[in-house]
Amino acid sequence: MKKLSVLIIDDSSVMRKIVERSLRQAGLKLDRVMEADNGADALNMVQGGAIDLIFSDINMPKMDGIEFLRQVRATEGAKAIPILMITTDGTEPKVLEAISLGARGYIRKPFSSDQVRQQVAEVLAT
Amino acid sequence: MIENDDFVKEFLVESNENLDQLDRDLIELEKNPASREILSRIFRTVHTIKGTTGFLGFSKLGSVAHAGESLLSRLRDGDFSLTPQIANYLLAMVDAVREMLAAIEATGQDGGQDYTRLVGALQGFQGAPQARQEEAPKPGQEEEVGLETPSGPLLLGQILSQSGHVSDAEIEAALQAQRAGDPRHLGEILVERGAISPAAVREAIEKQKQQQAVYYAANTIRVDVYQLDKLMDLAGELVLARNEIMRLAAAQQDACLLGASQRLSRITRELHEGVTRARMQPIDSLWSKLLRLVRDLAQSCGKRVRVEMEGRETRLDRAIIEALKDSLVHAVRNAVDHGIETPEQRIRAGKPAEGLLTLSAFQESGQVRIEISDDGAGINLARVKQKAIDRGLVTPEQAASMPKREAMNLIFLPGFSTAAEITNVSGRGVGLDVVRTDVEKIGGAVEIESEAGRGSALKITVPLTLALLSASSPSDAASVSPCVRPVTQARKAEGRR
Repeated sequence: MKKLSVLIIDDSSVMRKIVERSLRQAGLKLDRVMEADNGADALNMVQGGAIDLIFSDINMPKMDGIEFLRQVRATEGAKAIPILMITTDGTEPKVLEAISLGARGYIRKPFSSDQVRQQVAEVLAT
Repeated sequence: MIENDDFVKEFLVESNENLDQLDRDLIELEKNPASREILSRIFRTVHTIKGTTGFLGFSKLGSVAHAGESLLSRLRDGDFSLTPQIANYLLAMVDAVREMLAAIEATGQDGGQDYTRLVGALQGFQGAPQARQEEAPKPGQEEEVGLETPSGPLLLGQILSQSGHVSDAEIEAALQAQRAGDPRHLGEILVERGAISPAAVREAIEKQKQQQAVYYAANTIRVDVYQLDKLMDLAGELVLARNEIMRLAAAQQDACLLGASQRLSRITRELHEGVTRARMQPIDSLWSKLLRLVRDLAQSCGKRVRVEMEGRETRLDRAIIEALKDSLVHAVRNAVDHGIETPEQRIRAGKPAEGLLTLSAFQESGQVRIEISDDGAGINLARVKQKAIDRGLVTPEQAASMPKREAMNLIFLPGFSTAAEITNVSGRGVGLDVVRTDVEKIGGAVEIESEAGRGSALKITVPLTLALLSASSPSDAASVSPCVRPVTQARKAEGRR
């Protein structure tokens, strides 16, 4: 499998580390791991270079995950990057909104590395 | 589940920081119950804590956060609006979370306390039924500040130059004057020369502040306080070694050695200043904790108190901030408890029902002045004098001829205020000698000003840093060598706190 460059967006630095750790534990080969604590900063990073996969929290200061999604989808060169939302509640209306805006899925906290592996495999297979 | 020991420490740091903000936000929300912005921030914090506990296996903490979150989400959805009772529940939740974080830090577990009642209260809260209010959209509220992150904060001269209000030649001339020893700020020099209007300087300073805020937010890292203290100690030792070298070099008559030791001297001074700066914290880190105290106190004595703060960003050595903590708590407690009157008393006295407590801080030539003032009942000077006479602290003759300012400051004397009546009637006095001792221990000074019926102000002046030893180069060799003691003393003083 090719090495992945991922962007992890969450306003909690602990959460970002947990996501990264579970990606590694899921056996994914990571090339670059970028982090942002809000959607606005993440948007700048997305414009900056090749990213294979994005994990984004929903509730964040400055720019939330939904607005980030909307803006990425309107950004030339970045609109096709698969995005997975991180949420504590799969039934939250915001999650549905994210899916309708083009998020490829979501992982629910607390997630296991197995769940992350499955989700990522699904996204990368299509 | 993911192995998580490494995350726990970081989780504690992050959560504790968030909790301090949460206290502040909840109190702010009580004043502006309609603010979506504050409410979302509170919600987000609790949500984050809850989300992370799931990974770390702190189920009790998770359930308290979850209960808080569900109450918050109903607030957010407008099911009911914030009442003092709800605020109490939410603050109790914050306290519970804080307790559990402390337990986790100490034992690795989220503690043996039982929070089922709190969880029940948070979850079962029905609120006063209230008509849902449609909120008018407020376009300005979520506006992003469109500032680019600069590569570093600009100097005032650069900003002025970019503004086009003043020529580069004028700025250069003013900088030249500064280098030649003019102690004034760049803006002052330019204004005095008539090169620029005061308004343009103010505008530039404002712009500089904004840029600095953006810059610091993007370029700040966390450092273990222990590491910083160690660096500070080493820098102090280096200053001593430098002094020793300077003394020896001066005796050697060797031009090369002298040149090298002067270079060493300059670098040592800059290093010492740099480490000192790195240890500075905005006083807001302490004040924000006082807000909660004021709120709880005011509620328990049936008073209404508004807090205003000026100079929150004023920076002080963290050791000074630590050393001042108890004194400020004391002063604020006194002001709310004894200074500010009940709403009824205030209205009778022709004052607004809500009392005002002002915290202010500003830097003034190497010192910081901190004032805690209230618009309460003030101190009855005659009673202060009488008490001092009764306690044998002054003679009636001394008291009669004593100027007002000195007489007022009698209340700082040890043994002055053991009697409750004075504090209840006139406002202050409880243990103020302790405040004075604490402040003087760090090289500061304290005094009180008060006007009966108008309020009181406690004025504290402290040095910017706790360094008892000046790092500037020794002026004459003779005064240098016995310098070993101050550092040890400084370290002891810090170690006690």
